[in-house]
Amino acid sequence: MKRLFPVWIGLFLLIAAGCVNEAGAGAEYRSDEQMTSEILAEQAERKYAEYLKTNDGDRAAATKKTAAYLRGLPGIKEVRVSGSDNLFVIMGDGNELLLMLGKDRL
Amino acid sequence: MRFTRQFGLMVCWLLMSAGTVWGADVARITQIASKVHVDFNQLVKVKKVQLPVAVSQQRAFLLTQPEVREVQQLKGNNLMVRFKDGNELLMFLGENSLGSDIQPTPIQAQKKVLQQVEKLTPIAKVKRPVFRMIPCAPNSRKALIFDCLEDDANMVSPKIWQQVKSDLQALGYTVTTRLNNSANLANAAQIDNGEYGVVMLRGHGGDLGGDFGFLVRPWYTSYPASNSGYTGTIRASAYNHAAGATQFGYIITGTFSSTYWADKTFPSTIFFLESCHGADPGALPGMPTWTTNHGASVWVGWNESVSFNCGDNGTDLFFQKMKEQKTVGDAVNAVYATGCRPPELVVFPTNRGACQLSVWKDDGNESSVTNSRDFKLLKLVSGMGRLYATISFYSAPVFDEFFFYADTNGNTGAEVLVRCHANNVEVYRQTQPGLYNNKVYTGTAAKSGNNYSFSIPWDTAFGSATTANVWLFDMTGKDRLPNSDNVTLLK
Repeated sequence: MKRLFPVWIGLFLLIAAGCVNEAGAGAEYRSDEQMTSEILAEQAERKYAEYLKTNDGDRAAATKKTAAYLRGLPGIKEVRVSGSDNLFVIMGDGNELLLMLGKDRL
Repeated sequence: MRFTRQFGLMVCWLLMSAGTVWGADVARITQIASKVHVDFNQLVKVKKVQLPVAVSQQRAFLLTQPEVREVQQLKGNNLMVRFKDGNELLMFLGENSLGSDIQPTPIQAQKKVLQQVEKLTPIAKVKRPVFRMIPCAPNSRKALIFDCLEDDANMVSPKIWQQVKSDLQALGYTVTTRLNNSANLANAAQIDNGEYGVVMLRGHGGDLGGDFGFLVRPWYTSYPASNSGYTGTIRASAYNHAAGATQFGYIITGTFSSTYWADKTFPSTIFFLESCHGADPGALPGMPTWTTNHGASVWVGWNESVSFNCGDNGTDLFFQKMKEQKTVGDAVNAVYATGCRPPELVVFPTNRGACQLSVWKDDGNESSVTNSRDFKLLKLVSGMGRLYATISFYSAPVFDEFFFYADTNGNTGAEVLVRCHANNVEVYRQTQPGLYNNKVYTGTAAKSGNNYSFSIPWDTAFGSATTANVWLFDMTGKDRLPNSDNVTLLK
């Protein structure tokens, strides 16, 4: 039992780190979830941040990749890239939304 | 039977003719745009010609077309084509333009741009006020700061809206602020009615591919209704730092401005956009074009996505320079020199860099002074080698003479006296302390309503001095503007 203690601690820290990471980044969209505008906006922002990091801050590339990701989501009819960091989304029900992506931008 | 057939043929012919006439402009523009796109693709994709070279060739081709008035090459290898009939077309030729993988075909895209421009074209001819100062400067001392993100990220201290307000007040502007939830659709719709000489908008902006979108307050935690109650709005999402979450709101577009900013012509207003894409080439054909065609003298903004840091610091420096009576062009150059770019702060239209802010000084309505001699407001601006002055009175001016003094060396007392008569002004230089016998210039003066205006050549009046500390004095009415001290105007 004594020998297992560090393993328990390690496991606890691993789970805790996972939880913190999940809370900070927002949850990944699950295919069984009902797609809403709120989920769409949140997912777009999360993916954009992710792509921005993997593309060395290249906004245009991150925006393009976010567009491609969104096109794969259910209930999305059309995604247009509009400028370097905006996406114009038309949803299946005809509703429209301009996504202004990024946290450090006006 | 024969008559019916002939009648049918005639109706058919009439409809066809009408169709040809009505559809001629758009059809021809579409035809030209189509040819450019086909040739451009052929050059780039088949002949492997370099993108800038292909764009230049297409520009040269467009300039040979009799319908084309002007072709401007924009950032990202896009072309702005202005036709002689007033139509404009932004041709997305650059490889980064509207880079969606499932883009509409070029022709569809061009049609969309055409529709957008057409929707915005019914512009009332701008009627410039009769009494307009010759240098490009606002004709109103009212200013508006419309900050949608006052409670969001702020990079300078005091907050940028406070610094801009202070800079404008130093020049005599009266500043109205609309912050956070006051920076809403209802107040945005009233911007023309405020008759502001300066409008500073701070908030999230987007390039809509032929138009500019500006996100106004309030924030909504969930997707709002499609009907905002206003024409020309689109639902948008952006990150709200105050809430720490992505939230929703309405953006206003060119259609919003052409719908609601049509009551009053802007008084040579300077619009400053502290937002992303405020003067992005992809945004210019919409709200910026409509606004500058509706009386605004200039639209200043960033040509791409800008960070809070570059935005706040750039805005701060821009208005500091304007306070120092520099031109818009000088202020933009100062921001460029900081190196906080890309993106760049740019001026639209590009030939309005000489615009500047006037200096204003008001004076209370004194009961002991007859209104027709009682100074109300002094407006000064220098430009094109002259000093321009407009003096407003509390009623239509009636006087034999009043004095316009200028101290040019910073010592007590004036070196220059301008004797202001009903129809002319005479400029005298001081010969001995208090004696002004050296007449150097005579010019005309004009009255309009309660205003009296004149201009004098700077060098003739003030020599090599670069500063004029001005005050007005009326011997008869015993009125002085300002009551003490003076108003500083820089050459």
